[in-house]
Amino acid sequence: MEVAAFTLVWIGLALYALLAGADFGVGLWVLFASFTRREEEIRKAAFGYFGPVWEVNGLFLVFFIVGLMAAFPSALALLSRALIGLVLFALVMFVVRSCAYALLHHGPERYHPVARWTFGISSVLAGLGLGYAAVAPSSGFIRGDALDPGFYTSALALTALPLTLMGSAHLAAVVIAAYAHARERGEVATEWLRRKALVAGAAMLPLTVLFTISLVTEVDYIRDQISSLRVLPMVAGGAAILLGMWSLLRRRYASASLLIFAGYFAGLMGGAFLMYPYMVYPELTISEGAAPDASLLFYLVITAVGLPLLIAAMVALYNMTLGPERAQSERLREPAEG
Amino acid sequence: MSDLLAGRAQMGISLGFHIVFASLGVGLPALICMAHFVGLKRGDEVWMRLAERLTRAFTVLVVIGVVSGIIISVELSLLWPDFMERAGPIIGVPISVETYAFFFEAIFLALYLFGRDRLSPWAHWATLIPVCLGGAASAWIIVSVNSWMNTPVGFDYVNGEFKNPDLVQAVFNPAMPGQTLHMVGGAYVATGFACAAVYAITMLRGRRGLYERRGLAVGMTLAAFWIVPLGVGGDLAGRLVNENQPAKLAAMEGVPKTEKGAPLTIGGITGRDGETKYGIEIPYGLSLLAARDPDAVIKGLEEIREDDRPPVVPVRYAFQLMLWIGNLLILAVTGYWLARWKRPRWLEGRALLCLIAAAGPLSFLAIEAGWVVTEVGRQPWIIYGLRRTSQSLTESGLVGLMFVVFTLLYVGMSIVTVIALRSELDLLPKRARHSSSSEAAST
Ligand code: HDD
Ligand code: HEM
Ligand code: HEM
Repeated sequence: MEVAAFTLVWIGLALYALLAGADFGVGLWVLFASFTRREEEIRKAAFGYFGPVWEVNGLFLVFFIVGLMAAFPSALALLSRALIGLVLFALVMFVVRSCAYALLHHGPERYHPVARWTFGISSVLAGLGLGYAAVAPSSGFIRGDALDPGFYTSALALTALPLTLMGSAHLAAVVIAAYAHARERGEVATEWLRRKALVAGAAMLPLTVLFTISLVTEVDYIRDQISSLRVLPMVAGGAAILLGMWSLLRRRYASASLLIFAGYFAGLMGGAFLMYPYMVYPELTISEGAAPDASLLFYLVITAVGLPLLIAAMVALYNMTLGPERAQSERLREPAEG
Repeated sequence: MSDLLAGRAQMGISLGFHIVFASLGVGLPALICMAHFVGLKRGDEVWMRLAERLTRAFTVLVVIGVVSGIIISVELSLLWPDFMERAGPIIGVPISVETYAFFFEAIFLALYLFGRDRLSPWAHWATLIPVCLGGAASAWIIVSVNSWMNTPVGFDYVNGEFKNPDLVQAVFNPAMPGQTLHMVGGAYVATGFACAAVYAITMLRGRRGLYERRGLAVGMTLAAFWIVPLGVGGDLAGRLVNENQPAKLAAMEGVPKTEKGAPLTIGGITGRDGETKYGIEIPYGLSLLAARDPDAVIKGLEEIREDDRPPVVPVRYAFQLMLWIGNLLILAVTGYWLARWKRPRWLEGRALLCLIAAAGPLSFLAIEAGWVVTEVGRQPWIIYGLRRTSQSLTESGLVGLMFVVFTLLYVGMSIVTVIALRSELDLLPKRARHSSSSEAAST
């Protein structure tokens, strides 16, 4: 039962990492675009994508935390104690970024330039903070209740940072390009982002190799696991990403973004697979961290009912706001007044 | 400032900030839903404009509301890891139900905002219903978690651990009915008054068109409808406090000594020991109110060990403040509807409008005061009678810094909210370009 609950909680985390990762990447591209002549178009496409979805995306973090609370309270407490600094940093950046977004979207124009910079910089920093925090549980640097400061300068952490950054840039570029393409938001933005997505995707390859090397050299447990069949999900994820890149090369945007998302998802799930049975290596295993059975059962039942409904509603939302325009306008009966 | 105080103060500031947006998040969809409904039904442009304007305010408030909620969900475990570890299996499950309520609220809100031109008019309106239900449901659930902290049940307490959780019993804890009804009622009433107050102020400034009068009316309708459940809930909450948390009741009412047939003391100056001077005493009042029996015995602070007592002074004054405001709100609702039915001239004058204008901010003050009663009145316990707040604080040295940084962030968030609201609401003519969806521009 705890394994089922763990899977669900981890799915929440992986979805958060992907969706919010892409959102942080949006900030990166907005920042990047301000050095180019195409700034206006790219920004429009980027915020057109970001606007309707970021709030829902952010809630996956709450889903994950609350899942830990219900099903793995000791893990939540352990991580809260060990990672308080990193999580606080990311949280502060997240708040700053949201305020900047509120000003950009709802505030008067004279604040927009400052807000744009703030949005970009805080996005990148929040992503980095979370990237740091995310590798800590598998690093072996959490000992007792605390994070060994050696972690910050370990090869593992230092290779994870560029990986996180590039991964979110990659995801963001793919989805914004797909969005801009589907919505006919300008060929210029689409093409610009497509190129960037290809570059970022290509850069992921050496970064992944470096990260894997440091993982294997620094974490004994992973070294023992990585040669087993347990790496299969990760390998499958990598293959999906490669296929997605191929689709992107051929300008098949929808399948490219699906494949690339699926690939990263499989990679993240595969990470948990490699770590099994540990949640926080070497301090806590899944069964040590689990809540009493009554709570696990309730959590599973609630999630079994709620998650499918949630996903259906999300698909409806994404379809309406991000999908191709034409399909929508056919269904449109009469335009609302006002 | 000690770390404990910093942690408690940070919790108080965070929740005190969040509750403003949360209450509006419960109430505003209901107002929008009402105005939009009448507008569609009658094909009336003015009502539609009202719905649209309320929606635009809501879109700004939601951004900040969501951010403040996410802060709290992270902060709770960062500050009180011990509390989460022990109580997580019990409160985590209802909170995960709440997550779904949030999700549906957020998704349907996005559908409402971005679906204007893509859904049929009634389907578009109908997306508001899950938004309303989601807001009310999340308020109900999170308050039931809070009421569990006040009246913890549904487990065996063994050596500081909560064993064998019974979640159904935990959610339906003794304090739940009063607190949830009262809070949900408070959210609707306060939002109703906030909306009415905005238009009352506009009217006081001389703009008295159909639009303003309807804005006033829709707010006062919501407030009038919910003020009765609010009162019933408050009375129930008070009786349940008397049953389950005698220390809190003694602090609220200023009862130093155990008494049979205790009087109700209104106003006055209360000391640390609960002794109140210069108040108006209503004989048997407290026993009647709190236990429905003029001869009921009310426990005084003397029976509670010194280090188990809550700080009496803030609890007592906050409670009095809430009561005074509650009565003022009843007066305002009654005045408005009397004016509508029998005394139309009252609406021409300034007195009633001034009262309503004041009632807007005051009703939020009442919510804050009510939470001070609930939370400070529970001290020194984080889980009443079982775990102390001081046992639960994180050992991290960052608490003080965290308090300072987050206090600054809240100041920043308040400024951003004000700037964004003003710009969102003042730029009405530029709507097409600056609409709540950047989408609408190019569709
Ligand atoms: C519009 C706001 C508002 C108004 C006018 C009132 N209250 Fe209230 N009160 C709240 C908003 C509120 C609240 C913020 O919603 C609280 C905090 C915790 C809770 O569940 O509700 C609360 C708490 C609260 C509690 C403590 C519950 C507990 O700790 O378990 C009691 C006993 C009352 N209220 C009683 C009353 C009475 C008898 C009122 C009659 C005039 C009243 N309140 C008016
Ligand atoms: C939104 C309305 C709320 C407000 C304004 C509020 C206010 C406060 C205040 C003022 C304190 C500090 C009390 C003191 O230490 O003297 C506090 C503490 C706390 N509150 Fe609340 N609260 C609210 C709702 C909740 C809810 C719904 C929960 C539970 C999920 C909760 C959990 C806590 C915890 C864990 C603490 C710290 C421990 C303690 O002081 O007992 N609060 N809150
Ligand atoms: C009495 C206390 C509380 C009430 C009545 C309440 C109610 C609400 C409501 C109605 C919303 C929607 C607001 C909006 O859409 O603008 C909301 C948002 C949120 N709340 Fe609270 N809340 C309370 C305390 C808490 C606590 C203790 C937590 C942390 C566990 C929390 C976490 C959140 C989150 C994450 C959101 C954003 C979700 C969203 O609306 O999309 N809230 N809350």
